[in-house]
Amino acid sequence: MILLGGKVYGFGKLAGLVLEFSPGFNLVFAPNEGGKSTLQHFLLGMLYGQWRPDLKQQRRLQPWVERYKPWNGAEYGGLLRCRLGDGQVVELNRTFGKEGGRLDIRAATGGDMSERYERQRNGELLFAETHLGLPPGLFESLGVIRESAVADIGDYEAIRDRIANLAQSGNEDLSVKQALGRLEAALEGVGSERAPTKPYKQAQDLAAALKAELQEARDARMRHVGWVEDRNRLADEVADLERRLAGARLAQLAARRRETEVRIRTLEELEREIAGLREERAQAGDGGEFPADSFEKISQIEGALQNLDKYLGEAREDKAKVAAELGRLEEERLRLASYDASTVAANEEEITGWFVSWLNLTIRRDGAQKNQADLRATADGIAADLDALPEILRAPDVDWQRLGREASKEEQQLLWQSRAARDDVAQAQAGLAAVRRGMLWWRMLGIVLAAVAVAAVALKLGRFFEQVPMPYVLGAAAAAAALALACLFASFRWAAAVAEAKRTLLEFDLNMKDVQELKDRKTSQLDIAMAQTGCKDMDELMAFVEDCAARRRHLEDIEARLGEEGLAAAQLQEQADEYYQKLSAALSRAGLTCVPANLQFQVDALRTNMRLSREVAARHADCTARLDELDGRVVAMAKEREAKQAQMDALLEGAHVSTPEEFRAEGRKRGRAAGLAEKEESRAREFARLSEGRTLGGWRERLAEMDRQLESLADPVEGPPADDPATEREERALAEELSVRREEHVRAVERVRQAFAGHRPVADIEEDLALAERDFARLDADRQALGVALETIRELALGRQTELAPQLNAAVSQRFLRLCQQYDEVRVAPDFGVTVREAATGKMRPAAHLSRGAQDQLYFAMRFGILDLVSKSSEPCPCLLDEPFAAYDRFRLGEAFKMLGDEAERRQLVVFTCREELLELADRNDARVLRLAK
Amino acid sequence: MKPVRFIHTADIHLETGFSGAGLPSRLGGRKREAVRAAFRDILDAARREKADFVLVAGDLFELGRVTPDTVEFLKQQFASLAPVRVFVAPGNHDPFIKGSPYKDDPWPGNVHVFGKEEFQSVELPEAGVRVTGFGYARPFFDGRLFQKLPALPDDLCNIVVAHASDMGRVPEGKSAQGPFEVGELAGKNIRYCALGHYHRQRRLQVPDAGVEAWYAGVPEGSGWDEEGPGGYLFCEVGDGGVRVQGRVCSRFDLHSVEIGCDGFSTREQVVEALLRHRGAELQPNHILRVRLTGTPEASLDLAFAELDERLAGECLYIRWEDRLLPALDFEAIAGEKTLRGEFARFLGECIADCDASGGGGGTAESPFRREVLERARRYGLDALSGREVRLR
Repeated sequence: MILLGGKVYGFGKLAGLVLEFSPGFNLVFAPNEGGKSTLQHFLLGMLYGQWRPDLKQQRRLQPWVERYKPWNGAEYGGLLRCRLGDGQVVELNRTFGKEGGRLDIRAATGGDMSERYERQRNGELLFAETHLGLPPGLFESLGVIRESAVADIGDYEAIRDRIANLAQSGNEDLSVKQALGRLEAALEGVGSERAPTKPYKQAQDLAAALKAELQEARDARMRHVGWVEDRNRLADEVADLERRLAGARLAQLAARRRETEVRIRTLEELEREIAGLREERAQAGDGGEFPADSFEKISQIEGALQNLDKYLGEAREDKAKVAAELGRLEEERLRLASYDASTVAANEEEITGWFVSWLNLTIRRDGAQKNQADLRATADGIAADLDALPEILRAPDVDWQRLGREASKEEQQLLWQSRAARDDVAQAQAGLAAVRRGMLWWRMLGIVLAAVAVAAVALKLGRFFEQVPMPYVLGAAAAAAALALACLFASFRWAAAVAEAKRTLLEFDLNMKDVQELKDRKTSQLDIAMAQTGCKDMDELMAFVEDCAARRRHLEDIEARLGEEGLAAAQLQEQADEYYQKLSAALSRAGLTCVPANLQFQVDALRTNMRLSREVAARHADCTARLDELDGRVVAMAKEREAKQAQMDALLEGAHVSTPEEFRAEGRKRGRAAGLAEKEESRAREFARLSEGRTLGGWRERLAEMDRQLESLADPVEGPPADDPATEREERALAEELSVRREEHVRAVERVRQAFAGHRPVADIEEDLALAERDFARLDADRQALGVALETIRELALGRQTELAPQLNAAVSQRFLRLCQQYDEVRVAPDFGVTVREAATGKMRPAAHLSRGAQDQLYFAMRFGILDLVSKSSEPCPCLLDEPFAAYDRFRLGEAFKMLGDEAERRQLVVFTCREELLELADRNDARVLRLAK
Repeated sequence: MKPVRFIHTADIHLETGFSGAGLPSRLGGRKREAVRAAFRDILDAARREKADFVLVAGDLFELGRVTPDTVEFLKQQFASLAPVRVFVAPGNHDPFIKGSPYKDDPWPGNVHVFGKEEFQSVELPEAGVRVTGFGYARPFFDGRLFQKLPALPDDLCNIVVAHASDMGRVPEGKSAQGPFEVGELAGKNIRYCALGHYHRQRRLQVPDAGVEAWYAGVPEGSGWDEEGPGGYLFCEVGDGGVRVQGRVCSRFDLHSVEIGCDGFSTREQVVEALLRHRGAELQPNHILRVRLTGTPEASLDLAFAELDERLAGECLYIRWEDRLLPALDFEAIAGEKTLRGEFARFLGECIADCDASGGGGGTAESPFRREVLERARRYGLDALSGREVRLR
């Protein structure tokens, strides 16, 4: 297909632009923002339309449609003339926009050709697809070579990758490797059976766990069915046992009926016997009322009266004895009245306490007095020894130890001071001598200089130095005089220093004397002491002095202790006197006197009498109480006797007799009648036992009831005898078995009720399982799909490489070898790696070793070759190059234009550029230039 | 004749599962409770309206899932209804077989279960009614049961209850349990025929004008073919004829909505489109199936968790169905002379092969295989087009 030209009605900034293209090499020149991109989009839009190609069912506009609306309100659209591969010229007339989208395809003759093209549901006619065999996306990636694609070709590897991408995917930027990487990443995200943290394995595990749970729930249901069968079987067994037990109980009923019949007969006999006894008792006669039941009572009362008489006598005797004892005790109590605790105002314990305290204090006081006497004797001895000491040591306030230490210390200090004073004196004397020498020296120098001055003046005046001017002589004399004065002044200063040194020396002498005197004074007192005591040295004196001091301290201690002992003795005496006064007062209250010598005897007497008085009082109280008790008993027994006698009289009167003997005689007469009554009562009790609280009529009704029950049975049971042990055993066994079965049945019912405890409802599990399986199926489908996609792409890519490489080899060789004649062969490997053979050496060289210009040519050769392979072979696809050489230098541009010039012989090329130097190259290659104004 | 009032219900399916509807168990549990509540409502209505009896035309529960708790629930509910009689005609899901609570458990005295595969009658002379029922004694019954029904005596008002399939209008995917033709109901002195098995409430056109035959429908829908409210029938038979009222008792209705997503580029557009159904399908007590169709922009990211979060409270649950078409022209791509085109061609052929083998009696694997190939084509083209491979 060749674009011949056309017109832009309105498209972005372009309006009314007439286009003319040559069939080969075209160059569209425009400065930046001059409309190159707009024109490219116009051409693409004219060829492929405005609808989105991925949604052929829908009329959805491509994004650029809004962007390239005409700026000046011109009609949005244009006209494009093309010559097809078969030589036919067609004219495309298109309008764009939301309401537009019209395409008119006409032949050069004006005939409508629209019907010749397939129309998509969105209304688009597949014009370019039909002729070029390329969908719009593929045309854009293969038929349009953009600046970025070419500029990025940094090295041969990049070229190879881009060519591989183009060959495989039709897009330089889309590599199969990246596509496979994306699929592998997605597959990794899904995971596998060996990846427990990935969704696939987790979904699989969840589904498996839910299946297991469902199976468990179904097993539980199966068990439940079995348990329901067990429950029903047990229910049947219980029913059977209940029936058998009812049969056994029926047999028992028959036996009990017989037993009841016998019981009724016995009861009838007893009733008859009781009636006979009543009749016999009536015939025996009762002789009126007689209190037969009082027989025993009368005997009891009679015995009680006798006993009461006996006890009453004894009580009265005891009472007399106690009264006599009480009198005696009263006398004793009066005698000891003064020793009563209340009289003495103290009890025995207090008296004893006071006495013990007094005795103790007296003993301690005596001990203190004895200590006092001993200490006094010792103190007198020590005082005598101290009085015998020499006069100088008697002074108690002299600290001989301190004197000794101070004397020693001061002596040492004085020794040092005297030595220092001597040194000072010697030094002062030496200084004095030196000062004197200095003074003399300065004085002599002053005199000499004065003499010189005088001599000089004199000699001048004497005309000895006539050649020396007078001023010089006077000046020299004045200088000598000044120096003499200075020396004299210095000698006076030295004289003052000599006087000062003398005064210092004198002070040092006086100091030395003072020190010597002080030393002598300090040692004199100690010397006297040693002389008086006869001690040979200072140590002996100090020991002696220490002994004296110790004896003085001992004496002081003894004096102090004497004072303490005296005070203690006085306190003890005071306390002893206090207790003595208490004891004396108590004795006085009891009528006793005391002195310290007989105090112990008197206190003992007092305590003895107080104890006696207390005992007598206690016994007197006991006797009084005993007497009162005996009085009470005598009165009570007298009353009781009166009461018993009254009872006896009443009973005898009731029996119409006067004595108990008469009563007993009458009672024996009445005994037989009572025997009959007793027998009657015995029979009545027997009747009551047998009747079990039921009347004879009641038993007869019960028998009738049993008869009715037995009659109701269709097949009366030939029952065993009543209380037959075998029947009862059978009944018990049945009851026990029934009980066991009932328990089992209850357990079975409970088991059935709890059959599904701990299990989720089956529906819940099924629902969760369905979701889990759905998730797993989705993940499984994804996993398999990704695997299929990966595998398919790998295989197809490999096959495509193998298939494309030779075709590409041919296409590239055609182009490349024509331009680069130093090479005679190009080989494109399946991985799109390229090698070339040098014509001169016949060596194969990898394309990476080619020059930059040759690599560019190789790239373009391969791109055009791929375009050949992908597009329809019958219709050379025009190629648009959008500023492809922006980064090229002049040499590379020249090489590239050779390639383009060559390619323009095969297909139409339209280069869009803003570089003016390309105009010259275009002119050299016979390119048609279209200039767009800014 | 004194009017007879009764309730006709069927296909309660207590303890049924909702896995077929794709509901999670948390929602399934709520639905099951709703089924129980609906059943309680039915019995409450019987008490309130002083019904003479209640008819249950099969599938009261699901035998494979019934628990002691369910059985006790039924017993208590039926016992509390006494003295109102309850007639149960077991169906294929609750057949009268060994292991069935009908057979193994004692039921309250007011409950009568038709336990034989033949029509049996119970007369209620005080109401002037004869109830004739048929019970399944196996999980699948394909006999023509109404052919076994003789003409009933006309001394009483004859009510028939059975679980059966009207072969004149079999719903899609429904098994033919107890098949019959409506003509078989004619001429047998039936006044009212209470049917179960089909889950949609509907009246049968019986040639005999004197016969009124109805399917009661489900009280609570359980699948996407049972959308909308569920209920039961309240019937009154008197001299004036038969009066049937459909009553609603469902709580959580199922509804489907289709959202065309052509050109959608964000989730917000999906939400907005769905919110337009507010008040109709979109209600707080509804369970929704939202089918997304059309061709959205590639930027649309259907993160369903986020969509659920955004629509929380608008309805009880949403089951999303992604039926979106990719913005890819497979045919055009297959025309390319590139690896991409070759890939699209190859997988297109594989899918066509799969369709051909599936159409010709393919195995159950075929749909899955097709799905795998579809996905492989989509993921492969995404990868080859330089796009991120986004799993569906």
